[in-house]
Amino acid sequence: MARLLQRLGLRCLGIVEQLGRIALFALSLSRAVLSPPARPGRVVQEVFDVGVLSLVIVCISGAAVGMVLGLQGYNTLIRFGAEESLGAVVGLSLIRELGPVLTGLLVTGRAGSAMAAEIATMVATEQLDGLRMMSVDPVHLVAMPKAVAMVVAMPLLSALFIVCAIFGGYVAGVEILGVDSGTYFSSLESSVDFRDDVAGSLLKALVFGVVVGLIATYRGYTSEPTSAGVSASTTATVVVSSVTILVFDYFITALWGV
Amino acid sequence: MDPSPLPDPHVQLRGVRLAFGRRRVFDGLDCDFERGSICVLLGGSGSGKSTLLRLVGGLLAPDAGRIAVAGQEVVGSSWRELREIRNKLGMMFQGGALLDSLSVYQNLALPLRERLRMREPEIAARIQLQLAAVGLEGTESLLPRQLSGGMIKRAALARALISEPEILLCDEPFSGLDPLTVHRIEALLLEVNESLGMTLVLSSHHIPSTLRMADRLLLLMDGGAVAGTPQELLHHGDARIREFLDEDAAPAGAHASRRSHS
Amino acid sequence: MQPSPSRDLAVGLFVLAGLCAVAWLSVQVGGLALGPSDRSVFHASFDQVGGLKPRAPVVVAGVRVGSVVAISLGEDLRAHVTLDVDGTLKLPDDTSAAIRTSGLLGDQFIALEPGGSETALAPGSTIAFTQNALSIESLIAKFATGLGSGGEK
Repeated sequence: MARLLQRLGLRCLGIVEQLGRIALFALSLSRAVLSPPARPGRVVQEVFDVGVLSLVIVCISGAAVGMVLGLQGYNTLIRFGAEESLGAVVGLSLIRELGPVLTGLLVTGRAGSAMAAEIATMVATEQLDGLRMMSVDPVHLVAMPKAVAMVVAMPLLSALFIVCAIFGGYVAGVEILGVDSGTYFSSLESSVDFRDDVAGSLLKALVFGVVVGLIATYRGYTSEPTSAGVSASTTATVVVSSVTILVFDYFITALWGV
Repeated sequence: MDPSPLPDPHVQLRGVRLAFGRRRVFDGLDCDFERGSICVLLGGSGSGKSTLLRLVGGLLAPDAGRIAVAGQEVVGSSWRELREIRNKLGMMFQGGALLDSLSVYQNLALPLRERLRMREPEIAARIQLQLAAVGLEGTESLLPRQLSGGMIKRAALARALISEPEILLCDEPFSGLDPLTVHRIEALLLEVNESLGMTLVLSSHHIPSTLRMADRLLLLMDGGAVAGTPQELLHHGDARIREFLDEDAAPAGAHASRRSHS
Repeated sequence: MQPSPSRDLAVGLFVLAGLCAVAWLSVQVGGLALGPSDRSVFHASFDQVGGLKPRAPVVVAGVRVGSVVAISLGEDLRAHVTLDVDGTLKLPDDTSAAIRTSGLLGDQFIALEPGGSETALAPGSTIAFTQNALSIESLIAKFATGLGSGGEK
């Protein structure tokens, strides 16, 4: 019994220590963002890797999610004779929740894992030590552009996801199931509010970008210099980022929303 | 075991202790690397050759002991102080440690841009010279993955040398190289040592080149070190030490003659 | 970094597309007003607002012209409702405000009914004539006990 408690205590201390280390890493990242040079070339390269290369899966997933929402929403609403609210149902669920959350999860799997793996490989092959010996701060040269790119790309990807999904819902609801086109968009536009819905959605995506960027670079940066370390940091990035996104989603909704 | 005190130690380690978990690597290691000398670290795998180089570079902190580079203490120094110390050091890693997302040119430009803050035309000229010195002309735009192992080694050496550090730390510069390239790199290292007075600390398994080049040897064993000139160690009282050097050793006189020859 | 024009172009297009999506969601879907918007604010007091909520639509003759900004309880223990209405609209000063329900169980909204006055209602002023929310429960109660005729419509 005592040993069980001891192990529990050790685990808790370990978690607190981890959080402290992440906070310190976040601090050095934000210091790196503010200190020159800004490294625009590297940031552009990373936005390409995170944003442009994730574009296809984000748009396809968005359209598919929108079509399913259109279909499910229609089937439910028609029972109450309220199919004219389809636009509102599709739009609100997408903008408030599904857009940022699903984009966050997709980008974690597509780009966050790759980021962690790349940095962890650089640790394993002593590339980061090489930089240190050249008096180059690896956080500044390697981690900072990646984290910045994640923060920049996530809201944009989330917005594109939502737009694709709204038109996916349009295809399913209007083109296939026969809801009136004007009704779809007017119910969408009258129910969605800028501050509560759109701004909240962008805020969520921004926070998720910070979360994924921080966790991916931290996990990569602190990985063991072995191939097992690379795979462990990749897995940890996906798991920890996904769970954090879902938990943070609740808190942002509770603090921001109505 | 105590090293004979050297007149002008460029790098000095005193009472260094380090353990990885239960494995003790150094247990009170004392050693000096003289300014302008070529010192080769020897020892079986796991004896801590790479670890010693990492300690000097401040990439690893010892559990106890002091390490001084050009009189500046490495252990416990701030990031700014460490930066100052590292500006005096060039390090070539065993696997090259070239950034694999950057071309050879960009890799070599890094220390010049970040450390010396040189202007682009100067950087281009310096890189031309340095690549020619290691025999890698025309590889500027290639990525590390497009190079062979030997070419990566040479590019890494070029990157370590390009900022003309006071002290060059090389981890296994000769492993996996063909004999021709070994001779070429040997000649290059001897040249920078002579013309720039650069202190060289190499770790090596390559006994022939070691005996040809080294002013002093440092044999790492049992958590400590045995230091001496190649001749001293070749005729050392401890049979293990003689065996380590003897297995493939060139005649003891080769060192001096080859050296004056190059 | 090696400069690569095609990569830079792709990143530029991506950022542009993303910003367009954000703009479309904000302005078209979210109804964000850009630039100096021409809005006027009116106040109205009700004895009973029922299920009226902030952001509920404000309509004139069935056309949406604005929304409810805030609902608060005043010192006179009446509900004070702040309305945000299109500033180009010229409402006469005898306009009345009524809380209506869309459909039997739908959301509540405020309907402004212009009177015949020649003078316009000044922005920031209070609408004098108001009509309270009808509560279905009280209607049913009235109807069931035979005390009323079931609403004034």
